[in-house]
Amino acid sequence: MTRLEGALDEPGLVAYLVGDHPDRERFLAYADALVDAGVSVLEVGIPFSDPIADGPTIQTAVTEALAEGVRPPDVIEAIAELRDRHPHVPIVPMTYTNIVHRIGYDRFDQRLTEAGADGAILADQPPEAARHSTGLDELDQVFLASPATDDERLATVTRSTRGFLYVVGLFGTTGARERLDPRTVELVERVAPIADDQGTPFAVGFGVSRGDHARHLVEAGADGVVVGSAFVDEILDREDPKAVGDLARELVAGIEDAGK
Amino acid sequence: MSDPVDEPKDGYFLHHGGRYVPETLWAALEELGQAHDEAMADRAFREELEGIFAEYGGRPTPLTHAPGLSEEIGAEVYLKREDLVHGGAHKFNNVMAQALLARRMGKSEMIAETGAGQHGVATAMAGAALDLDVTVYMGAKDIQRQQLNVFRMRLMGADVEPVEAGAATLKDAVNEAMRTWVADVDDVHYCLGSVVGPDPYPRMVRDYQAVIGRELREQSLEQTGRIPDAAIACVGGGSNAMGTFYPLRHDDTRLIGVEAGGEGTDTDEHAASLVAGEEGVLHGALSYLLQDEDGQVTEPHSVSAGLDYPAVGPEHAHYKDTGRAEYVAATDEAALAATRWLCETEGILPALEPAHALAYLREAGDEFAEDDVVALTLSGRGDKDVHTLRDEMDMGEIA
Repeated sequence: MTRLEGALDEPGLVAYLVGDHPDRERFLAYADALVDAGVSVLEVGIPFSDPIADGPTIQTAVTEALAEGVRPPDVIEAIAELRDRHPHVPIVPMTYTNIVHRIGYDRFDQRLTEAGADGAILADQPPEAARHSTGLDELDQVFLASPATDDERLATVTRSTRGFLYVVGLFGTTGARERLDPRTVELVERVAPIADDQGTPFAVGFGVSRGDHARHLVEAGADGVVVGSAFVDEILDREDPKAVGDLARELVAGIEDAGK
Repeated sequence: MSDPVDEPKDGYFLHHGGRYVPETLWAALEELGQAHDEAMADRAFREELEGIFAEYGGRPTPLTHAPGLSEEIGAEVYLKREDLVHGGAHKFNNVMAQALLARRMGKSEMIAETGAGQHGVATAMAGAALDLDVTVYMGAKDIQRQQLNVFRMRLMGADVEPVEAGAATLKDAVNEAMRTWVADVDDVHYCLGSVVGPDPYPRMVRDYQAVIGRELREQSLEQTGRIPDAAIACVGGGSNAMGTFYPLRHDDTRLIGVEAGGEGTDTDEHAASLVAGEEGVLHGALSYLLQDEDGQVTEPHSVSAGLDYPAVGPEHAHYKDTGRAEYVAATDEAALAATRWLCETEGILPALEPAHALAYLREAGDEFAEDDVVALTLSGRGDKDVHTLRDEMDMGEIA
C-alpha cells in the first residue's frame, strides 16, 4: 500500500499550498504548521501561467510565485525537503497539463517520485485526456468529479482515480466561501454510494473553508475535505504560520467531530 | 507524412486537440458537440443560417480579381472579400452560427473573450440580433488600447468585463471566460472566437467558417474555370484560414497559412506558434504554443491585435504535421508595407491581420506560375486599424 492509498481510511484534511510561495523558507514553515495540525495529505501547487480552475486567491499566489521566479524544479526540490522533514505524510503535487507535458510525463513521474511525492492532480486533465498521454506510472493520478458529472461518468472517473477521488463541490473555481452550498452536500450524498461501492475514498473541495463546513461534509459521507484558498488567504493577509496551523486545527476538529 | 483526417476522433485530429478542461466542463462540451452535430444535420437550421448569412450578412462575399497585384506577382490573384461581410470581418460567420445554436440549445446568455475587440463586437452584434444577453471578457490593458471597440460593444447592449489577471490581455480574457463558464455552465453558452479551445470548438468553428472556402471554390470555378492552385490566409487562432482550407483539403491546392512574425521569428517578439512555437496544452487543446522552457505560456507580440494569441487551432497543428498546409510568418514591418500596397494598388484597405497574408504573397510571388490562380482570404477591413497605421507608418498627412 502506498502512503496515499491509506491516507483517508480515517476521514481527514487535504491541505493545499502554492509551492515555494511566498518563498522557500516560509512555504516550509506553513507546511510544517499544517503537518503539526494533523493534515492527512499535503497538496503542493506547481505554479502555471494559466490556472483556469483557480479563483482569485490562488491566482494571486501563483502570479506572485511566478514573478519571484519559482520554477517547477524548485517546487520538486521543496517537496524533497518536505519529505525529509515529514517521512509519513502523503504529498501530492497539483498543477496543469502543460507543465507535465513540457517536462515529459516519464520525467515528471520519475523526478517527483524521487523527491518523495505520492500522487499528482492535474486540474485540466480528465481521464480521457490522461489516456491520450503516456500517463503517470509511479505517481497515483487523482481524478476529479464535479456536480456536472452524471452517475455513469462518476463511476468511470472513480474507477480511473488512484489514491482518492477529488470531488469538486460546486460549479465554479477554487476559493473560500462563507457558507457551504447546500448542493455540495447533495453532491456528497450522491457520490458516497458510488465511491463506497468501489472502495474509493473521496475528498470534497472548492469553497470549503471552515470547521463546520468540514463537519457537515464528513457527516454527509465524505472521507475528507480539501482546503486551499482559505490557507492561501491567511498567507496573503497575515503571513502567520500560527494562523495557518490554527485554521488547520479547526478543520481537523470539525472532521473529527463528525465521527462522534 | 500521412493524410490529414477530415474529422477528429474523440476530439483529436490524430494527435492534436482533445479536451484538457476542468471536469465541470466535460458534460457541457459533450452536449455542445452533440447539439452542433444535430444542428448541422438539420435542414431547417442550415436554411435559417443561410438566410441570415444572405439577408443580414451580405453573403456570398465576392471573389475579386486583383489586376494590379496579379501584374506585380506574375500570377492571377483573387481576393476572397470577407471584409465585405456585415461587421467588416469573417468573425460574423462564426458568431451568428453559434448564437443560433445557443438559442436552439435554450441558452439565454452568451459570454465571449476578446483581444482587440473584433470578436467581442461581433458577439455583441449577434446577441442583439438574436436576442441573447452578452458579456464580453476583455483584458484591462486591451480595454485601454481598444476603447472604440469597447464603445461599440456597449452600444449593442453587451456588458464588457475587464480582466485584471496576468498580463490583462487576450489569453487572460480566455481564462476568465472559461472560469465564468464553469460557474454557470447550464444557462450560458461560451461563444469562443476561433478554431481553438477544447473539442468541439475547433471543428465547430471550422464548420461555421467553411462557408468561406465553399464559396471561394465555387466562385473560382465559375470565374476562372479552375480550383485555385494556391490559397493563402493569415493565422492567429486560425479560423479564417481553416474556413478557407477545409473545403479545399482534397483538392490539388497549395494551402499556405501566414502567422504574425512580429519583430522576427528569431526574436522573442512574435506570435508565430506554428512556425516558432512548441507543442503544448493551453485553453483545452494540445497544439503548438509559445512557451518558456518550463511550460509557462509567454506573451505574444504582433502589430495586429487579432493575431496576438500564443497558441493556434489544433487542426492547423495537424495540417502542419501531416504536411497538408505550409505555415510561414510575415513581420510587422512587411504587413504594414503590404497594407499600403493593397491600398495603393487595388484601392482596398485591408485589416492588419490579412495584411500578413498579403505580405507573404508579395515576397513569395516568384513561387507561382503565370497562369496560377492564387486566392487570398481578405479576412477583414482595415478601418479599425487606421490609428495604428498612422502611428506606425509615420503618415502624418492622414492625421
